[in-house]
Amino acid sequence: MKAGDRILDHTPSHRRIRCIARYGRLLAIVLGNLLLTVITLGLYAPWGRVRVRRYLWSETTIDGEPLDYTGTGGELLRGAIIVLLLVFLPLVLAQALVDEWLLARRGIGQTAGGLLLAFLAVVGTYRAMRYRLRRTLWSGLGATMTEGGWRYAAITFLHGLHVALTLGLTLPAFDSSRARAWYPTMWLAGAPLRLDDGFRPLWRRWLLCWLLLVPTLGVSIAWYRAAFWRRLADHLQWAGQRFRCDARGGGILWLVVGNLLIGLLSLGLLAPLAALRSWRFWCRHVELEGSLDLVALKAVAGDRERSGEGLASMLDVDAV
Amino acid sequence: MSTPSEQHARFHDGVTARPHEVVVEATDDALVARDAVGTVRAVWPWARIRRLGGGTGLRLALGHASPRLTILDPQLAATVAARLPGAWPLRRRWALATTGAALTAAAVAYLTVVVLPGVAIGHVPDAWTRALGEMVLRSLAADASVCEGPGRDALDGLTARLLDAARARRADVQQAKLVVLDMALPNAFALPGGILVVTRGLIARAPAAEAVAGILAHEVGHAIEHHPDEGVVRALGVRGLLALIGAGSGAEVLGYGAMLALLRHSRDQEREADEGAVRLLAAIGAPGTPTAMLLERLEPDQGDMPTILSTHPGAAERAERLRAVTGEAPVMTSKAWDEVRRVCGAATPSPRP
Repeated sequence: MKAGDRILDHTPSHRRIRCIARYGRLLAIVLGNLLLTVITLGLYAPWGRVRVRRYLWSETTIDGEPLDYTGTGGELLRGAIIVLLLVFLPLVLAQALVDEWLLARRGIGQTAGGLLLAFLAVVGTYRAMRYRLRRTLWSGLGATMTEGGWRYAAITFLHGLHVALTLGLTLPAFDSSRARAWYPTMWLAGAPLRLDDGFRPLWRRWLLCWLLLVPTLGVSIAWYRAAFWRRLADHLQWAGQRFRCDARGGGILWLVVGNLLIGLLSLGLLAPLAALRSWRFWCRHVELEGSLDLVALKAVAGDRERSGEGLASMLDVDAV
Repeated sequence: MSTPSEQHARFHDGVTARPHEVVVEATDDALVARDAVGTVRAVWPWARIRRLGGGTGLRLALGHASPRLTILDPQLAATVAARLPGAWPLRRRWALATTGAALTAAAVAYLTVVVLPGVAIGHVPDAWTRALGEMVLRSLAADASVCEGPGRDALDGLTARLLDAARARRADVQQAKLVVLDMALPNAFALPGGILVVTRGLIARAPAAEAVAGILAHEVGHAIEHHPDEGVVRALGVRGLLALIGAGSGAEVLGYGAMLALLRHSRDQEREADEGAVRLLAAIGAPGTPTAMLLERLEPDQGDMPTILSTHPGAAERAERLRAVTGEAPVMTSKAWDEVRRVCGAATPSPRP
């Protein structure tokens, strides 16, 4: 790409999405974060997270231009405190009071509180991603998600209950509905993601995997997941570009097993390394195709949130 | 007077994704970027320029604003990088902030683990600590019954003598009550609220009544110093600190380090209780050798646990201190001792000395 080019053309031999972050460098950051977190009794943790994200973002490029993470530790800390004081503590108190009043039906408060926490965790997941996107720049342009997470959480919750009641049979509908509530709300560098009408649930693939779940001890789900991501990529567009994904079930299985082992053997200390492993995996297996009109990509005004990820952080959702 | 250094660079204006080829001039006050027709695209004061990571070349931003400037020419990049503010002062600020935070955290940890438990416990109502002790006793008694057989009076009398001896030295000795649990495991401990517990197994292993007196004196030492009460407050504080640390780092392993710290403090309290036991035995004129023999008899039951992991100092150290107590007065009659050995029902044969 030459400076001043308006249109970027994709050449098949050149990968447009790349991650060149190194495990050794990330490990040094993680260990430094751990030391500083211990000696500051946890106060440093949000700034440590920012260090990790700045490194991962800056080592990921699209068409040679790296991402920038602009969030701060203060925002993360503020978000956690706000959620603790305005959500978590009132919820715990309400739960205890309900159980106290409903002594004859003890447990209702705890059950209701648990369900509410699960719902809020999903809202927190959406908002955490929204915060991270709003703190991401590419070529000087930001990203965002346009909703508050409540619709996404409602869809996830209701469809999730349906999946549970059908012993997992309706998982493809669950995945499809969630994808439709998530991706079209994303804007990257001034252009929205679009999911076309051709994106349909993978019923036949899932039925076969579902029948093989027990004989394969759950491993067959990796093949369904790989097919899901490939189909999603085939129907996802951004700024006139098409996505392509070539991930396979074996690759996803190895990714999941490897990350589990990393977490177990390091007692969770090396979770960021597992996150980098996932990050590099998806950068290797997802590609963009098409011509990109850089002038057509324009900045979109959006809220600058002053605090970040409180819900997701408080409910321990997500590693990076 | 500016010294222009003009080189080409790439500028993203934050309005579109299109990069603009610009000419960069490093003046005394700012970094100036002009496009091909000479229009000034950016004037960035040196004090506000931030260096970014990643990509190729030297990537710069103005504070937290969106525009980006990428200098690809190595010579110009080196010149500009040298002019950037705060690479060293920023590290110094970080070092100061981190040191300050670390010192504050160390002070908080010291207060929480060492100082506050002793201070806080003085303000906790006795009724609360007693209620806590009763709660723990109830959970223990769920698995073992409380012994009320013959010999309880003798044990209660012995406990009262030890407490009176303690009050002769200090006036703030709280009331204490003795509980004998029907458990085969030889053990004795003090619970919050002045509750002293000995087990049938300990009485069975004691060579003489004076050995039980020594063990009771040790537990009275714990009770009058409020060690069990402090321990609960300290454990709550450490748990809270670990939650603070662990919440950010996932470092479950820190729990092991904290356990070692708690055990270390527990050994200091055991030494304090041992010294109290020596004083109380001397005050009632009882010999310390039977207690030393009991401790040596019980030592193999501790297994091969290294001293650093044990809650107690080594048995040899404790026995030596007790043998220095050379009183000769029996603490109860032979008949009373026989009754004490039947406090949980069936008599247990007196072990060989």
